[in-house]
Amino acid sequence: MWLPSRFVFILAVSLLGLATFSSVWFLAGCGEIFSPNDQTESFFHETTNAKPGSGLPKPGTYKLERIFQVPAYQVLDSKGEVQSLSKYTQGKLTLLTFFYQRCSDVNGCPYAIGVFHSVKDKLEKHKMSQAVRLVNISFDPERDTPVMMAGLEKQMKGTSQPENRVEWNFVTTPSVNHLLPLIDAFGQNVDIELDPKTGDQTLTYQHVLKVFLIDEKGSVREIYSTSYLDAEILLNDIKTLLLEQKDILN
Amino acid sequence: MKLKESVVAIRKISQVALLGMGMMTLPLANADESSCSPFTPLVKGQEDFVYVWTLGVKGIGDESDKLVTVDVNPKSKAYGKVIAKTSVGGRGEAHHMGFTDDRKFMWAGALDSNKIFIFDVATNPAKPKLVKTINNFVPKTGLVGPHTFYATPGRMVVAALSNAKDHGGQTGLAVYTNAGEYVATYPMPTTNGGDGFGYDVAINPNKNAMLTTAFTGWNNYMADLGKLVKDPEAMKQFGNTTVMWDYKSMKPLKIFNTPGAALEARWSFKPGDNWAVTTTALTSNIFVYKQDDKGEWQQHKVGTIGDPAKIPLPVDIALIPDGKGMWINTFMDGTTRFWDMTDPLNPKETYTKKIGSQVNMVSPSFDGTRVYYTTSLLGNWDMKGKADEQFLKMYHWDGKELKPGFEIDFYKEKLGRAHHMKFQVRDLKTLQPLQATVESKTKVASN
Repeated sequence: MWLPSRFVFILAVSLLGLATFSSVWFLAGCGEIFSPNDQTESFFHETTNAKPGSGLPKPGTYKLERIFQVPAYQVLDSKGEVQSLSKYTQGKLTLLTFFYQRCSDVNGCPYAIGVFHSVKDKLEKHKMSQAVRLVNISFDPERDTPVMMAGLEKQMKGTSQPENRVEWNFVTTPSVNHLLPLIDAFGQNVDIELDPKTGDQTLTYQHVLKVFLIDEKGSVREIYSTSYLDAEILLNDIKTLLLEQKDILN
Repeated sequence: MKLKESVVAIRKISQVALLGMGMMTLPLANADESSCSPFTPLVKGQEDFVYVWTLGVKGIGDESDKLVTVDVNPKSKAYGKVIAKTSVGGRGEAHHMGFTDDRKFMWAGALDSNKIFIFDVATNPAKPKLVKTINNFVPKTGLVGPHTFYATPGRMVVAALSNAKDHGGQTGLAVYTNAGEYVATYPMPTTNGGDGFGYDVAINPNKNAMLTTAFTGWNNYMADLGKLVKDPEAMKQFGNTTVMWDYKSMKPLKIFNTPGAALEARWSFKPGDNWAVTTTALTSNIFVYKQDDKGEWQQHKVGTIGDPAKIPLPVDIALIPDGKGMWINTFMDGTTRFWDMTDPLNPKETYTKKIGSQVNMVSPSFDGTRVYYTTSLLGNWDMKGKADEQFLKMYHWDGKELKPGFEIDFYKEKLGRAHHMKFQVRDLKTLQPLQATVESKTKVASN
């Protein structure tokens, strides 16, 4: 089963509190307006048990630099249609990672998917589902076909209502040749291994997994590697970028 | 392998046994591999190569700074021999280097020319290839003297020593993407007790903490050491602070009074340790950084190295894998010292050995059984005449005694002054992350 039981553990991690923050009214992405309500305010109000110097800084008290702009590329959506990558990296905050469905390392792709689930649950709990999208791009275009991507999208929907569901896209590419410049652009290393007897690809894509936090204009603002990937850190940075949007719009 | 086109490597493997395994699950590591970033995968077994970032010397060989590759696998026919030399063309005061977060590229800096050289060390680890040179570090950052190269996800933190305005000690940290694109500069603090000096950087992701140290500016590090020590005004221009930062926000949390130029910064990454250590060059002290019961970082002066009155000049330090011991080199007497760090607040010197007339860098293997030494500190600070020995020496360490392995005379081989060392393996698939278990990932949340 691809979704391991550790998702329960990850969910528990994600439910830990976050930094205290003053009451916030804000706008986010694509002109979508979030009216303040109990849930959204509590998203920013939740406190953390992290002590000064041993945990995270308060959201909005620090700046995430613009590291690089996501370049223009094309991908295949879960219907097999060609789409501009910008469809998935602009207009709202995006958490993006590369993966392949057969990855079975509990500290690799499945762990990142689990962290995404934690972020998704938190956002939906606080009616913040329109603020962030999640995107997985496959390393393995041969096996991770659009049909497979559609299956994963369906699997990830969970039990939330459609109107309060975080957008979670699984996309792929037509071939490895299409994929390579894309992962080069993100600086996502991967070793595609070949069987020395046949010259065929094996099903192993060894990589140091990274997650990219992208702002609504398509600029990468933070990069996380799997060894220190944590839902609480992602949510803290998401809040910081949402508060930055609010400051700009005010 | 071009820098932008290098993240994918298609590699043959010996068998198809990996089918269906995906990435391997890796054990929890106990410590760093010498001074590597915790974001960089480590060599936990036998290292195949030692790279030595070497200062070119006029009249010796091609006279250029160069990356020297030494085969250090005892099973190799070339064991203990130089197998590659990659010159960068010219002399710029080669100094330190660091891997990117995937350990596929090595960034190596020059303190005088301010150039940063990026080598591909993955396509053929036995023969690194220079793939990019950053020539505009000064105009981009306002800083001078790129010293420490420290990997963070997708980026490199470059800790500088000086600045472009007066070449004094006020300096900062610069951040670049792995592709070599400039991102931002963070000045060292000059308020709340900060003196603005900088040198090394070390990050503890589990604590969201970053420790920086402080040395001196271009005016001093490029001066002749004999003349420098006789100049009272110049001798005042050394850093006297260390800074604990909030790593995420890149803001100083606390500035410590640390007299005498604290140099190398190291964290013990043994699970649960979360303490850092540094030593001071001019005052010969050991300082340890730990959080108190309230979570506030505190500095503890825990030891004195040699006779401070003689200024033995502690230089490089290296924690051993379990965090229970630390090698400290003192440059002026060419001595390496082993300190028992079982209780980091009460460490004890338990072993000393003279390595040569001068010694600077020390790099133990991950299992601690092999220890490598090099000699050069700075081109104008190294000993003169016969005392200017330049070598790479490897010793076997059994916990009690250093026993000679091999030695390479860098002058005899017409290479230059041997400075910073980094390990590499032939097969990068064997690298392992410092932290790999899900359990470890709860630390930030539970602190």
